[in-house]
Amino acid sequence: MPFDSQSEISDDALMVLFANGDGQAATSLAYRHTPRVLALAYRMLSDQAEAEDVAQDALMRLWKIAPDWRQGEAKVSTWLYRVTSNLCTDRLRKHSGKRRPAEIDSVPETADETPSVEARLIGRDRATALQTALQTLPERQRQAVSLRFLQELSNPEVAEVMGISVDAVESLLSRGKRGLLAVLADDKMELGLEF
Amino acid sequence: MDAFDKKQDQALDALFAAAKAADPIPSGDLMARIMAGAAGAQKPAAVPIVAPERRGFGQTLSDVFGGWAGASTLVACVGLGVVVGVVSPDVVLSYLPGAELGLGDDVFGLYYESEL
Repeated sequence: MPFDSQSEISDDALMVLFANGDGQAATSLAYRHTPRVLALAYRMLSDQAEAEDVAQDALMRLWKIAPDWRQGEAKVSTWLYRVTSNLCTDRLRKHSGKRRPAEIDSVPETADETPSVEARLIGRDRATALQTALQTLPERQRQAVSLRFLQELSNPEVAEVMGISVDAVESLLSRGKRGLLAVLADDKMELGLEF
Repeated sequence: MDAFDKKQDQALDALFAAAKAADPIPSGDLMARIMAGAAGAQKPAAVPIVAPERRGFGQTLSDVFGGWAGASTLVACVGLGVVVGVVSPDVVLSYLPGAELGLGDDVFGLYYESEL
């Protein structure tokens, strides 16, 4: 697997190796975690360039904390999600009032391998519609929905990343899903959805 | 969960699946920036510093004579010389012209006297 040549080594072990000067450990950690960090940042910010800046910043913080990393206390992925979420929150607050909904042109190029052109177009329309709808949700709901349904974390993991209770996560998810459906209701026919 | 809720969940699942398929891929430029950051933050591999070994007097002496083999050879040669000198002093005295000595005589003193 080209993106992670040390796939059998745990994140904790890679952190130790990195702290001891192993350059290959940095490569493995970067290729293992950057895609998911970038995806979360993009869901939160809806801007590819800003999402990349956040991903770079988050990984930089990981490098800096490596010498003090305590094995077994936290998962690297959870730690990165929390840092990424906080960085996105900071940016959203700085840009509050200046945000614009995602446009089709701003949806990044992806590795989508959908077989037919029609299916690819529908998938792209749905991805864009969801991204647009996500931006209408309050920040905490957007964060919870992104972590749970797009990054596929469990409810307890989402609670850990967000620093709230599992009950609070469930509440955010319920309201977030209702909010998404309300925003998407007008476009459900065009998106080939029925609800 | 009623039929309406189920349809809503199915619709959301379809949207989430489409969104996941459209996740952005890290660009080469981003990965290069991240790796540059890692290189800058990473300390060079630690080289272990080994404390010099404490050496005793015997070890030092052994080193002076070239280790245990050299020291053993030296001791053997000295011993052999003493044995030869005690058992056959004539052999030794044959190298001292004009000297006729018995066991226990002052060999070197007589040698110098004979030279004078």
